[in-house]
Amino acid sequence: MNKHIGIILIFSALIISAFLGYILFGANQSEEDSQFLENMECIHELQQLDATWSMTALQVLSLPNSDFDRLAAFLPRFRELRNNLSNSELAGNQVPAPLETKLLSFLQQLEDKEQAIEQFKSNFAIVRNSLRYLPLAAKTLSSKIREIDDNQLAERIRDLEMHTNSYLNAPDEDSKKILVIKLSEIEQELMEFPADIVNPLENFVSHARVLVERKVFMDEITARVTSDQVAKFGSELLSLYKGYELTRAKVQDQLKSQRNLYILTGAALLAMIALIAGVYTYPNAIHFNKRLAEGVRKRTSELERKANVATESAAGAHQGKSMGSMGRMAATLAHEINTPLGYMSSNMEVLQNSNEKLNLLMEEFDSLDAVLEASDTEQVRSRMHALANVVNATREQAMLDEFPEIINDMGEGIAQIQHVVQELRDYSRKDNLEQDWFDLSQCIGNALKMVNHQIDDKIKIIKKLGTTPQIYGSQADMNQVVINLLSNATHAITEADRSTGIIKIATGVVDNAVVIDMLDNGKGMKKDAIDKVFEPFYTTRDVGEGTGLGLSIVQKIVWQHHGRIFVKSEPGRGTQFRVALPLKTKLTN
Amino acid sequence: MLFAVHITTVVAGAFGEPIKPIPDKVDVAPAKVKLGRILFHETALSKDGTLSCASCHKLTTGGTDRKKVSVGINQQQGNINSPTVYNSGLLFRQFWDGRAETLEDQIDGPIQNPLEMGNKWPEVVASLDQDPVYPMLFDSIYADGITRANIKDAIAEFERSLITPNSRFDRFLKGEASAINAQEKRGYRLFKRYGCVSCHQGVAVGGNMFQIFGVINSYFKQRGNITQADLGRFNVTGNPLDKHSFKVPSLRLAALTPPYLHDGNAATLRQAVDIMFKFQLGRMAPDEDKEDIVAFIKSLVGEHPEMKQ
Repeated sequence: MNKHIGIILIFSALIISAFLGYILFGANQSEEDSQFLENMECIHELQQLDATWSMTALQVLSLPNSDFDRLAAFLPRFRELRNNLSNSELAGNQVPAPLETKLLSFLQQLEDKEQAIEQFKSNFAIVRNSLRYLPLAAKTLSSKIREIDDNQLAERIRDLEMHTNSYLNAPDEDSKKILVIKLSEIEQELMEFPADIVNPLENFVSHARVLVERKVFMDEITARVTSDQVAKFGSELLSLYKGYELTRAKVQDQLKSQRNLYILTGAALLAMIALIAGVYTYPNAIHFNKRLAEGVRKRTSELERKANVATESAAGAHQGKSMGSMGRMAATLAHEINTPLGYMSSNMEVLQNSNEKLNLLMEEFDSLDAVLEASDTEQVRSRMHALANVVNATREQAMLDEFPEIINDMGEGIAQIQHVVQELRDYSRKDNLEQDWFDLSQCIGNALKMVNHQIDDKIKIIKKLGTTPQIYGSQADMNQVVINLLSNATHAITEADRSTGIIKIATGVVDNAVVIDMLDNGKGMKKDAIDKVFEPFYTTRDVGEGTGLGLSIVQKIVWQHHGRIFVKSEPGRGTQFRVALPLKTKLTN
Repeated sequence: MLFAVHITTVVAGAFGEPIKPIPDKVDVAPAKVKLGRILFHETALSKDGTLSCASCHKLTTGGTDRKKVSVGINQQQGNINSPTVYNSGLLFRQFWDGRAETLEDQIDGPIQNPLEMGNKWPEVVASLDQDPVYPMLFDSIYADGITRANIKDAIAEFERSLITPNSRFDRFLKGEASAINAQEKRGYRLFKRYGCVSCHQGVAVGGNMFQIFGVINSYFKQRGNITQADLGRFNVTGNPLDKHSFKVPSLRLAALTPPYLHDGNAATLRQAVDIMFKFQLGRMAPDEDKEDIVAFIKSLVGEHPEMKQ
């Protein structure tokens, strides 16, 4: 029973924590932010559109053959933005009253603008036509009147014309009133006039009236179209909105941190509940842990007994380990090649520079030579001076005496790169499958011959070669194994700085295996070095002193011969390598 | 944006003229246009299944039915003359009083007007749903299948495709001097000189502004019998200044769409021109001038494959 309750408690605690975690990190935040930015942009664009619209209207006024398509083209976008704004959160009911009022005023201004544009177009068309026609109407009328020879009427018409013109040029209320009266008067008398006059008079009066009514309106409507109300209200709306958004963000933050506090407290409580529940559910847990720890310890010591078997003999595991150090290999490889390349490249630069200086020298000499041909003593002397200077400079700057060293360095660099490439090839090459039966002692002999030059006089080699059966495999490879081991042993001793160094090579049969032992009293290795010693490119030597591939090659060859390799070492005392090959060994790839 | 997109062509010869040639192409989705065409001729849109859009906006007769007012379901007389559907995508608003801001919005009018198709949208969607072919057609274009919005979208797209470029006058604007004859050229000059062009301008030769009908002299005083429809834009804005104000119609296909004016009172182009002179321009003009103007208006007729039988 206890266990079930406990499990239920734990599960519900976990679920609730997850849920709380979700709330904690769940974000409505970013959505609100983007809404705010969108609305701000909307208002901005409306202001811009409004300004451009006004400008276009003024252009229409000034161009002779303009059409209204350009003015109508603003409508779709204007409408779209206005609708977006009216449907946005700004128009929602959480918005404070002043902001809402400001938005409504702004929207109203936009609507006024749209209407003003429409009035502008209609009015402009009418006024334009009438303004153009009025003089013509007056002329037609005058000529008709002259025909009927009515001087009084002619006088009246002229007076009317004058008043109209002066009003149009300088509109004011009083002259408007007078004009309107005059026009009405004459309109009422229209029927009394001769037939010929009626139409032209009617036309003239109509147009005059239209102009009187609409000219001032035209100025008003133009002012409305080009007013900055939209800009003004827009800016006010923007600043109010920004202020509102800032306060809201602050409040949000406060609420958020409060909420976070509650959640964290809740989560902590839940965690405690889960823990207590867990302890009650699994009272045996503590004992179980003790047993577990003991088991782990036993196993570890068992493994430690087999500690010298650092690697598995299965080819697959080998592959896995190699893959693991691929990265390190690549990096070390790059470093190994780049370093010599580096100082080779800088040496190249030096050579180049020197070459230039030498060229200068040649030139100087040539000019001297030319002068000598002319044999003018003064000139000769000055030329000699110049040459002397250049020679001295060259001597200083061309680094002529360093040439041998430079070239030598470069040669070494090239050799180093060659060495690395060779080792790489050795490591990765498809093995030379020249298989045959051979004697181990031959390998030892070959190896000693090849490594001889590396061995200092201080080092003493002791050979203890027992009787060993022949091994079937690749003698060349086994040579390599002994060479590498020997080389390592030599270096270990050199670096140990001993007065006498001893390397012991022994062969024999131990436990059904043919064994090669390589012992040295060199500087030894620490535990962590022993673990890594067979890894490709692992080396304790200085940069440029070794590729770190030697022992991994050895290991590979040993495994190919179905053997095993062991290492024991103590820092300051020495190292032992043992290669164990099975009797009647068979070569594997 | 779509309206603005249409105003793209500025041709060298046409620059500086108040009338611009209709662009040769319009940016529409071919699949939607095809579906829209079918819907345009679909009588199931009307309540009794007798009327389609094409009934009053017949494509082979200039995009109208050539009647004074159109006839709705149950033989009801409409209250205003049907304008042409051609080039309607070039107009800044739809309906004489401009109450629809887009082609899509306009479709709501006739469908739901009891005098016209007398239907309701749910019923329209339902009848199309039951049709064997429509669901597949709609699903191939619209993710959400047959909806009010998608029906409107397809029809509007089709309507947008109904532009009539390449009229003889447009070719003249583009620099082909011999595209119109001497009379038509004279007509254009007079059209400008008399001031007709102050309102009938732009790419649609109209359709981009409102104007009072009876500017100089009162048309309605003379005609009498004022109806709601005669109030025009006032019905939408309530602004007294907008009384008797109407959207200036496009003259592009005027030669093909008698009778004229919002009440269809002018049976011929010449009559319409007479009325315009009297009430809008407040001027007299000799017969030859008016004939020239009529000739000019006739040269505005462009081309569209649907116009032919």
